[in-house]
Amino acid sequence: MLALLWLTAPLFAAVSHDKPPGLVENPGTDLWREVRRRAPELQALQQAGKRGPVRTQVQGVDTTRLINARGEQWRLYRHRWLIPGSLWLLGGVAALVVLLYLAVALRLPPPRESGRRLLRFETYERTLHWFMAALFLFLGLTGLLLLWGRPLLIPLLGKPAFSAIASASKEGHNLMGPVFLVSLLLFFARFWRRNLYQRGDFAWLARLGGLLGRGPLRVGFFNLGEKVLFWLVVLVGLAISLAGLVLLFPNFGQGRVVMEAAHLVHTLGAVLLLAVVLGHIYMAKAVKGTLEGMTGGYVEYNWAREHHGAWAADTEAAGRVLSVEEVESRRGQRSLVKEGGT
Amino acid sequence: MIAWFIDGPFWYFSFTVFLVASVWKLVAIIARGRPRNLAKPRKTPGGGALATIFRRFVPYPEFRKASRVQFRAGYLFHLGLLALLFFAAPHVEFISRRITGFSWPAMPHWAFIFTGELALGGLLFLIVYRLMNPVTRYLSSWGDHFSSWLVFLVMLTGCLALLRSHESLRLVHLFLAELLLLWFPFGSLVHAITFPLSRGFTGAVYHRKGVNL
Repeated sequence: MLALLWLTAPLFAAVSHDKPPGLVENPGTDLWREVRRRAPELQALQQAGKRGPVRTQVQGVDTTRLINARGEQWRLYRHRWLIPGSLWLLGGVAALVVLLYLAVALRLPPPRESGRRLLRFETYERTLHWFMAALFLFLGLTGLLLLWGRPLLIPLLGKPAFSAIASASKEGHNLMGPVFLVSLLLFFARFWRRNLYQRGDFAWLARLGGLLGRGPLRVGFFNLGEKVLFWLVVLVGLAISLAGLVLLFPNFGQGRVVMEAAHLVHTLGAVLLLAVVLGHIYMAKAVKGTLEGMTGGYVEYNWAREHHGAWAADTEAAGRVLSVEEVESRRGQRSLVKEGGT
Repeated sequence: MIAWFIDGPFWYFSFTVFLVASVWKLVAIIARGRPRNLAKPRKTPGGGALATIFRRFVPYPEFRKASRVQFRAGYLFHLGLLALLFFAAPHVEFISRRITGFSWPAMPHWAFIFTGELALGGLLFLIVYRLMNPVTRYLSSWGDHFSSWLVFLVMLTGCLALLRSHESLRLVHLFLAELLLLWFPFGSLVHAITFPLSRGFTGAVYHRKGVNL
């Protein structure tokens, strides 16, 4: 008998957890349980074109619903999975990037100096890249403040300070979001041609970008890794932006399910893209000579031959390889006309 | 204490400096006059001055393609900023209460948001372009960079305070706007009030010589 009681104790414990001893059950509990239970039935009636027994003067989505159980499910999902999951994923990727940078990237040598340079990105292209990058980082920061702020910042700053930060983040995020979409479309229009598949892309992949095998790789303006990054940024960025617009304009009749789905696409896409961009920043810093193309526009000739051999050969054949002096002259740092000359 | 200082004494101080220094700058420029020229004028200087003030709102055909990006982003920012400054509801309320004593119709909220997006997007693009273009980077002084970043921060904090739910956000915006008022007459931002004089002067001098600008 005692053994039986011991084995069934958890069941009694579960029951007693719902109704602690000494506490009287709320007399309205049954009423509200009934209201919650009937909500799907009412929705089904409404979808069938029958208005159902609930009437309200407030016209809008879900206005005839007194309790929506999905809201609580979504809240729990966000708190139990979305916030900790994104925190672990982005934190892990950031830690990995820092470790790789300290262990590997710092030891990689810069390209051999040849005294020659190639124009890789024009002014407009560099401006577009950094314009989009600035918007992306701003949106990423404000988005993460909204996603993680409650568990991370409230214990540090307190509720009043976090309230102001959250309000500012929300306004800034909502305002800059559509501008990011415009920058993404401009970016796509400028670069999509150079990011189409070319012969040799899979050879690059098979040799892991030159990590395996010997001999030069014949790579065009972008390698397959960069092309994948481009399409990820464009397609995931587009999905984030469109989902963001669904969230930004809730006045088009979209209900809770659509809003939750948009929230999920928006958050998961943004976290994925942030992780990818962390990798992109690492590669730009690790492979010496890469970042110069996106800051000053010109790259070292030996860097181009090593990483984008086919493009370097084409540029050289077209006679567009410049000396360092010519590049400095174009930047206004040096005059090519000798003193006293004409 | 800080709120009182930003809302009160610092506002009056910065607005007074802005007003006095700007008027002083305009008067100083006008008082310099034109150099004496005894040659017989080929065309009327006044017509050239007026024509140049308006003609320079669009780039010369030779530069139209090269300056296309700056031209579009520049107009988005300048027109957007002008609209926000004088027709955003919180600004109309502030100006009428603190300066003019009368108000005028403000933009609807959606137009405010849309204009803010255009103006901020345009300015951010121009800031990045200034850094990326070797020519503009070479020509820009630290004062030019400071001016554009200050304007950007004023606009951004204004947009962050859009909900008007937190006094601290409004004070940050107001404080930066006051710094902008203090800086305005002494930096390159003063072109906002001196551009008719500089364009007019150039137009008058060259038109007098018979050169069409």
